[in-house]
Amino acid sequence: MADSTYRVLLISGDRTHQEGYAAAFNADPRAEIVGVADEADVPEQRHIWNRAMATRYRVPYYDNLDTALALRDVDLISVCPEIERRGRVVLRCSGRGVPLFLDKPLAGTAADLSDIRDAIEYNGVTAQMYSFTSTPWARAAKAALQAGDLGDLIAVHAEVMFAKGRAGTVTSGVVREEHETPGRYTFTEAKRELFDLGIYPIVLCLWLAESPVKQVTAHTANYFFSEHAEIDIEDFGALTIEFENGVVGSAVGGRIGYYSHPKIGPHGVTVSGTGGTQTFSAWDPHIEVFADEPQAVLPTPHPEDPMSMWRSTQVESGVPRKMGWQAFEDESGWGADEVSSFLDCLDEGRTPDVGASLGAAATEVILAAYQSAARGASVSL
Amino acid sequence: MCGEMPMTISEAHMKRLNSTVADALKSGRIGNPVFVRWFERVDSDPGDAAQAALGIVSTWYEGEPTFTHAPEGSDLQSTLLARWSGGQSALLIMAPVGFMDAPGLDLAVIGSKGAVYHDV
Repeated sequence: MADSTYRVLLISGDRTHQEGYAAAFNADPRAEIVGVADEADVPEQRHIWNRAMATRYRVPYYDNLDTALALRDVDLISVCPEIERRGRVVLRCSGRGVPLFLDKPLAGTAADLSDIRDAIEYNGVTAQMYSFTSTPWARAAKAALQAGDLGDLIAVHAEVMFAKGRAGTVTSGVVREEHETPGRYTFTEAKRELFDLGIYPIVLCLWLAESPVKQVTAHTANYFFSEHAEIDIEDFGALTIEFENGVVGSAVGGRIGYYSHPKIGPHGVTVSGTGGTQTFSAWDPHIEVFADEPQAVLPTPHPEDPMSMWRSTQVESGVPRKMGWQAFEDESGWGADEVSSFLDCLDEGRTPDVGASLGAAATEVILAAYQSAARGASVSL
Repeated sequence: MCGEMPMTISEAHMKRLNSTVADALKSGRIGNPVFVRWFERVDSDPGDAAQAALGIVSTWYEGEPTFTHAPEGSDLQSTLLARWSGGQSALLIMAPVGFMDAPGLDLAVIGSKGAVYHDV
């Protein structure tokens, strides 16, 4: 395929992470978006958001997944339905036999994870789940380990906290009581943040440790946002991951509020080996700029997206970019890098870093983390 | 510049850090402290260092943790997940200093509406 174009079918459109994935595919000269599609029986609002994306990219919208999957001229599918539909939709897409670019996390239940992993393996499909392994800082950590500079790996810590949303609205003193099995995942006003953001550092830990997970111990919380507390989902999670090879992992994921970081939040990984420790932050090196200019102010939250979850609503509400820190590496390219790395794998016949197997394993860690947080005890995998 | 780098985090530095963070918390600028990520490069016993850090964090949370978990692993590192009765939590990680490196601390104290960072 290196000499031609990947014709990309998008499953689900606006108000999902597909907004970012579609933009990245659209920007890559090796890809061409040829349609947007979804299941016929989704709510009308979902069809409206899907049509909006199709209109923006001037491609047809197929309101029937079977029709879209029967199209001949599709070389790649970017799959991004709501978590609750993800298991069956990915299964159907895998049957099409073309490469799959999968939203993260892979699914919301152990049964869906198992089905997805099995179906992708059975159909021999190349798949990649979106993660941060293509970021410059993650790649630098991997390279340091592979170079052997730090000796044998003994511990890895990764954290991805998003400085988004207006924090401080949760009632003081709320102590979260976690549930062993998450129920609903999809809400208009918020997302489960251990699930949605915790997947990034957990994937990094698994990717760097290169070992099956033995045990997970986790804590979840409602620290910041009334929006999360009112629908009984967490806005923060921290966990330890014990690997079978003896490596100790730790991960932090959460949404901490717009004003809690000079950039978009603490993002980084630290690897410790028998020969020392090295930290790879998304923001280092950076310069700090102070000037007689207006400071970034969080605007009135978008009524349909108060947590700034989607690219479109951030633009609509005018969330400003903070300018105090300017990192050497610009984060605006991370999404494109991830899509580009997937196309590189397809061009070169390589296996993606985060395929269905690692994606499922990382998602299983999250499900175990909910159990651990609910029980107040470690959970073995 | 290398000659000015501290070869260890001194007791005096930790004492001043403790009180400075405590003052910042008392000011209420970051709301209620809810999570502490303490990442320290140590050239001493990592388990002892973790307990020392836990002691400092406990003063910020004004109480002892009700739950702690320290995964088994290499003796060169120590990782501790802790939770307090008010729901606050901390992740304390003590990691080995490399041959060409120096002890150091990367601290994040996350509050309900702000954060304190310290990196030395």
